[in-house]
Amino acid sequence: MSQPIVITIGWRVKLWPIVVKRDGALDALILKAHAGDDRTALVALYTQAADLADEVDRECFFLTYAHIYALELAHPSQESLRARLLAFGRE
Amino acid sequence: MAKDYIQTDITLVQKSVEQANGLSNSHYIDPAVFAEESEAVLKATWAGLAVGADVPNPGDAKPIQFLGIPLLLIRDKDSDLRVFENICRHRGMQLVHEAKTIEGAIRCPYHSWCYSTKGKLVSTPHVGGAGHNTHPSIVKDDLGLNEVRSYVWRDVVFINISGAAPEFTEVHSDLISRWSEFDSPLYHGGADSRCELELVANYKLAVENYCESYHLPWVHPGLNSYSRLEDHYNIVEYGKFSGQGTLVYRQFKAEDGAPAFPDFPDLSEKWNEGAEYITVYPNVLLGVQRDHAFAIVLEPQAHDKTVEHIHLYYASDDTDAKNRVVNARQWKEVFEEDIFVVEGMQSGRHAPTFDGGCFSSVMDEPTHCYHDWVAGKIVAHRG
Repeated sequence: MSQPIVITIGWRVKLWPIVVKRDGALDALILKAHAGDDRTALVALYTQAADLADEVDRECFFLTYAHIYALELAHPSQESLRARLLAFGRE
Repeated sequence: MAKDYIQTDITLVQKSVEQANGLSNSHYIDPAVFAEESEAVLKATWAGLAVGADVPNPGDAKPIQFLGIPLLLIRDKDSDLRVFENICRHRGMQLVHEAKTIEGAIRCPYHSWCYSTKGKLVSTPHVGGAGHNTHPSIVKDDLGLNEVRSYVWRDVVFINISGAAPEFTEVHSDLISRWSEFDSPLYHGGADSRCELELVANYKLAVENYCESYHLPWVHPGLNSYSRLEDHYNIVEYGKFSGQGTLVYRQFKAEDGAPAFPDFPDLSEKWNEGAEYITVYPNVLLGVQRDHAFAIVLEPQAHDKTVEHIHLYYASDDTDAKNRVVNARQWKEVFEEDIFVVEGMQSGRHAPTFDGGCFSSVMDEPTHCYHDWVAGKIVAHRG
């Protein structure tokens, strides 16, 4: 089933016109993490969204979010996320 | 634009102490003159901004407004203190809105551009389109945070907004040398050793009052029993700094009568009963004594509004909290006794015929020294 994904830009939650095929539960978890400002969870959830993406642009789109929150937190995964983006020439 | 009558006043200020008038009313009550003076005095020299103890740990960041400029005081991951303009280089969004610890990168809350604690731009998400985080026109190495020139002395963070002042150590070489015996580690007493006082007054009036001992027997009568007027001396270095010293300082004692705090190490006999209180022009009031020191950073919020940020320091990081609390309370009482004077002089500056006043060449020279220094900076600014 196609689901609209809601993402955060800055502090504001906006509806982004990207439709991805995946479990709607992940969207809900991402929304919940944004609502709770749980950035550690956002790193994991956006990484998961990237892993589920079926094409490069979408994967990099989600990887970007995971990477930025990882950077902000000095999260252990920041280097591996950056490496994935670099591999696609996106960072 | 400078006004003619102000320039006339400056000329009078720079006469000898016996003949001089003080800075005219407009330097205290006119926002336009305050704006000019801010450029000439507060931005062109090394002004006090904060203290290192405000950001004690790596990653600690504190947003501070200085003369309306959004600044960010931060201790980077290598423990170096830095001051940046608190804005993203992208769209000028304020980066940090409240004191916090930066765990990794400083993330702009607008488009999430990220900066290291050293100010380097490290990521620009989606800058080349969704999921494309680079673009040839956005050169990260050229877009780091704008750093403000800073120098830390006696834990006070001084900044030079203009970037054009001579080195801090050059400007203040005589003062640094004068107090070289106190060049040992300072330990902020912590939360119980800091307070703020709000003044409805121009910051210069707090300096003027601090510099001289003339007022002590009248405003601080509690000092008369052991620290009489004749036990004090003027400290006057024209063009540099001024203040006062005492020859009868007594250590702070605990309830049992023993010294409450350890002395700073390796002090000469001069400091057994000596203490000095000097203004680092334009806005930092410092005091050194054998067993503790203090720093007061005057935050000039407006031409008639100042906040005193008061901090007490010790020679050890292991001092008794109860004694620190009592000491801090006593100092606060002294500083509070000065408020009515400073605010009273501010009110007095609205008297239209006040000519800036006069100076006792015996008692007021430290104050005149400060006026003369301010006047000199204004003259230099006007070119």
